[in-house]
Amino acid sequence: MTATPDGVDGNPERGGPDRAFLAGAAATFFTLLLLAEAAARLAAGSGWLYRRIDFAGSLTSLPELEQRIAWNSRRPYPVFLLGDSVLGATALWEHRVARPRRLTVPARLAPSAAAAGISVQSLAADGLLLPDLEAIDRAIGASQAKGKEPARRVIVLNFRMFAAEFAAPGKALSRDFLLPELRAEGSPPDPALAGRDDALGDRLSAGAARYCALARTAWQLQPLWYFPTRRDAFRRLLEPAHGGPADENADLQDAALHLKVDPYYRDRWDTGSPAFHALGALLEAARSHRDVQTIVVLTPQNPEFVGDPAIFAWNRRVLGEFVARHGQPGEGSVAYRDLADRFPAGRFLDHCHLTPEGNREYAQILLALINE
Amino acid sequence: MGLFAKRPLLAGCVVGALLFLALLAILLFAADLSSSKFIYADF
Repeated sequence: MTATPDGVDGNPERGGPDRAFLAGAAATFFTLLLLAEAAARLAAGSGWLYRRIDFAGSLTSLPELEQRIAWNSRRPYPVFLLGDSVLGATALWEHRVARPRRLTVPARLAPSAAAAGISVQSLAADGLLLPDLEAIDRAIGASQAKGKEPARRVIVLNFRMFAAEFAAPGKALSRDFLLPELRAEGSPPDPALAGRDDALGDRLSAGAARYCALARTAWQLQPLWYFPTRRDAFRRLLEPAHGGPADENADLQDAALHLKVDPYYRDRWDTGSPAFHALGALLEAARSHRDVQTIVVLTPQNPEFVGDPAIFAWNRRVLGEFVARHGQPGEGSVAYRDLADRFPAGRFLDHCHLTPEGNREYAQILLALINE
Repeated sequence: MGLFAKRPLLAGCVVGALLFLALLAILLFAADLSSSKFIYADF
């Protein structure tokens, strides 16, 4: 028995079939990986992804955020919406509204704005706080610094963002991956934002998102099937077997909501808090952006949840005065609108999230403000 | 075993493609977004 000559020179090749198997597996795996990476880069870089899929309400990484900003900055008359879940679909989804993504404020606003030649991109996401918005605003500023067209910002503030519980160390920033953006300009961020462990998993995740478009795009797509979070998606799947929320006590749900949101309206706001510090930095930046208009809006609140009317009015006045003081005309301009008492209770799903009809009216108000 | 013995290169290509699909599935359905500590209860 002699070995089958399978080398190019007719000699038996060491390894034989095993080597061919490994070569085929490695070549196929890495070729497909490279092709998928190229496709992901092309889809995101050309805007193909963003024209077809609405990612409003989710934010998965800093590179993904920068990608969305870069894409909208290339479009005519770009406008960025910054805010929290008020601009997303989660509350609609929780209240079993069909097709919630099509009924959000940005989804209602974008077509009307596009008809007027304005390109609206929402960078809002559930749970965002003011330091998050400051970081996002800096990312927009960095995009402008690279020569893109000046962009307008619409900053939607919510009472929740100023709550005392989010002034605690480690709670003032909702997305850890935005912290590098706050450190980018050399100024140390608020102590309430710092001192957090930088876990190996976070660093790996951030590195993968930065250098691998395939991973970035895959994570970006996850909220399409795990919405708003993986846990909620699985809970919704299990509902038919265990009975849905309709079977639960409505009074109990209402009490739980009050328990959660009443503290948002209970205290007088402290203008020395991380939230006001971030808002001040946002307004200072807005003033210094030449030819850029920033619109700051205090989002509508359900009158049945606002607690003590005196504290509610006091907080609104404090915010109005703060914005007026820090947003005085500079090279850029800042406009402020307090819409806290704009809608009746019937337009709300809960303390601050609007019904589809409320979202439609809210979008009209924002469009009018953008057009002013 | 038949395909591996007769056509090892083709068998390798099939396994490579399956490995890639497994990686894609992990990224799309299982990879944890550990960069965010946001939980729904905060919204």
